Amino acid sequence: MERTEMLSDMAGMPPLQTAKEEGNRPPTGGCPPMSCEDKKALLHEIRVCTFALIEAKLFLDSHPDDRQAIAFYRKHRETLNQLQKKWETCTNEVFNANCSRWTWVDTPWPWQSEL
Amino acid sequence: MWSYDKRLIHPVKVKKPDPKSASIIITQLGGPHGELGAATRYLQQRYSMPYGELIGILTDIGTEELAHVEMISAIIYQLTRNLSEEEIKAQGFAPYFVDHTAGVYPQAASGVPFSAGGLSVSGDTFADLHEDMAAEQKARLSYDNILRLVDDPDVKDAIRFLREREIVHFQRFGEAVRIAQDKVNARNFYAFNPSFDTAKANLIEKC
Repeated sequence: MERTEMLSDMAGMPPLQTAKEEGNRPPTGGCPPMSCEDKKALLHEIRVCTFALIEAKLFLDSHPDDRQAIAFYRKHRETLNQLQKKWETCTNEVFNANCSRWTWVDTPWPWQSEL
Repeated sequence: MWSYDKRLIHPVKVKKPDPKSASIIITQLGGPHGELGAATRYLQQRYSMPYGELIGILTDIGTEELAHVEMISAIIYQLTRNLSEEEIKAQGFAPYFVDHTAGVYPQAASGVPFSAGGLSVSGDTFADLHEDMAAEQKARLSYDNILRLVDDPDVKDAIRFLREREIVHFQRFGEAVRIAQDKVNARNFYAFNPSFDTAKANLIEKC
């Protein structure tokens, strides 16, 4: 027996609905919908950049006068800003891309997503 | 993931050291109604929640509670700055001082260290959300009691802010219960939901 059936059977309730089924996902605004592969590639860039910043910050905590490290941090901070902007405009993940619905609650959570 | 903003969520500017008050207020760091327990409870309850709204509320309130941990710690830090040996002895701070000096250790006012025994992650949507509402009320009453026991206006200002947040969070958790009740079944007058491994929770979603 399916889990959802089991649940509804036990509780005398209809199966749980998901946001997806209710059609809550609005179209992306500003640019064409991204393919799964493009999203993965962009998220990878964001992850790489974020991790570089984490490493740079940690290094700078013990080397606060390292000018090369400061320059590295600034460069990646700027890149991350641009990547995040792109993410927000081109996907519905993280922030609400349309102004009628806070889509943050509709998109998969990090432990539910294959991204 | 998380990142850190180098500022307090609400200013804490305590000018007068008062270790006696610190040993009471520390209960909101590591006590049974404290902020560390609140953050842990909400963030760990997220994984068994079946709806995005509920996970969103738990994520945002859990995150805010971490900022409250920092506020309470800032109050303890400022209340125990620059103490003389005489002040430590006279104000009953010696039993804490002997183990922690002026470090900020998560413990209850009674001295019992922080324990996850004071929180629950039941895996049941309604049981967890009702626990969360109760937790906000318990934190609120602890802040009410602190306001009865403490006189310093600088301390009271920060405590009042934290108390108000408990009230707002209680309201949001009340709405969370209503959302859950409507979604699970609008006619389900008796709010319960055997929410072990729901389909939604197990699903790995395509992007």
